[in-house]
Amino acid sequence: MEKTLDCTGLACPLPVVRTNQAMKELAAGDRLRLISTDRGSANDIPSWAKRTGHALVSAQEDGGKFVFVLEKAG
Amino acid sequence: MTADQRRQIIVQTAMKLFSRQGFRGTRVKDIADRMGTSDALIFQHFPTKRELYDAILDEISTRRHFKDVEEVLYYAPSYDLEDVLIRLSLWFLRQDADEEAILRTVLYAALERDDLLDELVDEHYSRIVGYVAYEVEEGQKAGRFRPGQPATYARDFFAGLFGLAVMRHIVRDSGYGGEEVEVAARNHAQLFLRGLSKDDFLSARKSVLTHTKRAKQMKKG
Repeated sequence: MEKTLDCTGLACPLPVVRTNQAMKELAAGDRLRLISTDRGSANDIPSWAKRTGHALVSAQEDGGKFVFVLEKAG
Repeated sequence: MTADQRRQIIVQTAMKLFSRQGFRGTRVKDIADRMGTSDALIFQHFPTKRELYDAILDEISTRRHFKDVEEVLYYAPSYDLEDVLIRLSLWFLRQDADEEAILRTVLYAALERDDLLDELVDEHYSRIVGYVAYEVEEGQKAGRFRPGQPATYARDFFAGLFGLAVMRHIVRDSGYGGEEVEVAARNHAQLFLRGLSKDDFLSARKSVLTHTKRAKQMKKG
């Protein structure tokens, strides 16, 4: 299952807070597609994923829009 | 001692002096005397007093403030609002108790109208205020909280904490500092949430209206 979380317009720390919240509601192996326009997300999301053990499947930037795909750890 | 360690000692010593005498009231020579060294050594690391001051505010804003609050918000086990607000209050009250120099330096920067204080407020406090405002707005949408500007309520939350920290650690009023930090943090968060509650707001308004009506009737009678 893949869920999309749109954090467009939200400033740090909200994209990480909402990602953390959303991941808690997913089952192991489910994916979360996060869209953020906050520049801080470029560093914050990969380091958050590393520390919490969730996999960062992909990270892309397109004209100030960051799109991350995360997979919930088992 | 490495250059980094020496630099760190200079920053710590300068912070203690700035926090007692202000930026303008502290000379580089005072810092050197306190360290038992020469001002030439300090100038090697920080060519101007301003650069030393920048390093202090950088230390406060990156190392202390935002790194610690990231821990509170990014890795929260739950986002129960009362729980998060208690942890934010604890973070705020504890850091000032641990290192009173931080609070004093921030106050001096405000009194001396230093531009770098704006950075601290814009980059760091406003983000945390933004987070609390977001949660207040969510509570309003869900019908739990009273109407009004979420950002104003969020600022009230931090202004109350700031005032509490000043009374405890700067004014040293025993009435404010008598209780444990944990109890003070819990009380602050719970009172804030109680004040936001829509039910309490409606019943308080009803009681004021009833009181006003009665007062008018008594006046007529």
